[in-house]
Amino acid sequence: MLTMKRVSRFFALLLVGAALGLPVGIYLVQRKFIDKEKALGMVNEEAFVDDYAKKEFIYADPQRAREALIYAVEIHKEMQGKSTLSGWPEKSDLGWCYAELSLIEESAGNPTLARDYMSQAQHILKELGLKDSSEYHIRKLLQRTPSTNQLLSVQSK
Amino acid sequence: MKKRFLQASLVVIGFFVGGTVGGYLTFHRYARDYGLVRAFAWTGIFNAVSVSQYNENSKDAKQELFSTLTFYTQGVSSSAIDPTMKKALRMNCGLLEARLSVLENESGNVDEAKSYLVRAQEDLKAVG
Repeated sequence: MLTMKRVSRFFALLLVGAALGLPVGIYLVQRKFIDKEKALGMVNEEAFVDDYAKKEFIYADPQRAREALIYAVEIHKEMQGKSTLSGWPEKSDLGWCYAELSLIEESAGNPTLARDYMSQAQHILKELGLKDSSEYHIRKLLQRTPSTNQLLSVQSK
Repeated sequence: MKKRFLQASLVVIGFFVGGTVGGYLTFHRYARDYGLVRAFAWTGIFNAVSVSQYNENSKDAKQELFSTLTFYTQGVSSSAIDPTMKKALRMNCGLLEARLSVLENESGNVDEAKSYLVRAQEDLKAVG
């Protein structure tokens, strides 16, 4: 009877320790490893598909560029809620994704969608402090530097 | 005193066991749900390193480019990856193969260089 009591106390103490340790383990793995790796992965994934979209947009098929840009926008949206690396450059990149989508939709004969994308681009870029976020200026920037380092040239303005 | 110490030890052991189990379960769920994101966290680095080594004419460039190419090729043939992402991977396969072709040509392996170039052309043609 005494041994039984000792064993149950032994397991009770272990259980108390485990109950205290479980949330700590979850927190540490989530905070110290998962959040950082996820943020890095999302940034790389977005940059990868964005680079592909820009190459398709410039050299090949705008339809494929559209698919890739929509994919990139989805990753951006997901990043805003989950990633710790969702900051100014990512938001700016999202703005330019919308601007490029607007041009693609316009050339595909979808003016409503094009206007919608352009207004989203203007809103984001204005929020980020682009001095002239007019449609004319955005179009001009897209035409002048249609390459992957477009962001840098915009930052310098 | 000894009894107190034993009790405290049991709680500490339980704490570590609970922490390990919690951490493992969290990581397991993350690895299951975010396979692609995890892959990109590391391949982004591999790609940057291999291309940088290629640009600097490093002797390790060939091996690094080949490792990255192998990973991308696996992604292209995976059924779990989005078609748009597959195209992006294929385009990058083409670019890596073109770089490998240049390196093989410089090493005097003309047949290998030609083979890589043909594959690069196929991949880049496939994505437009």
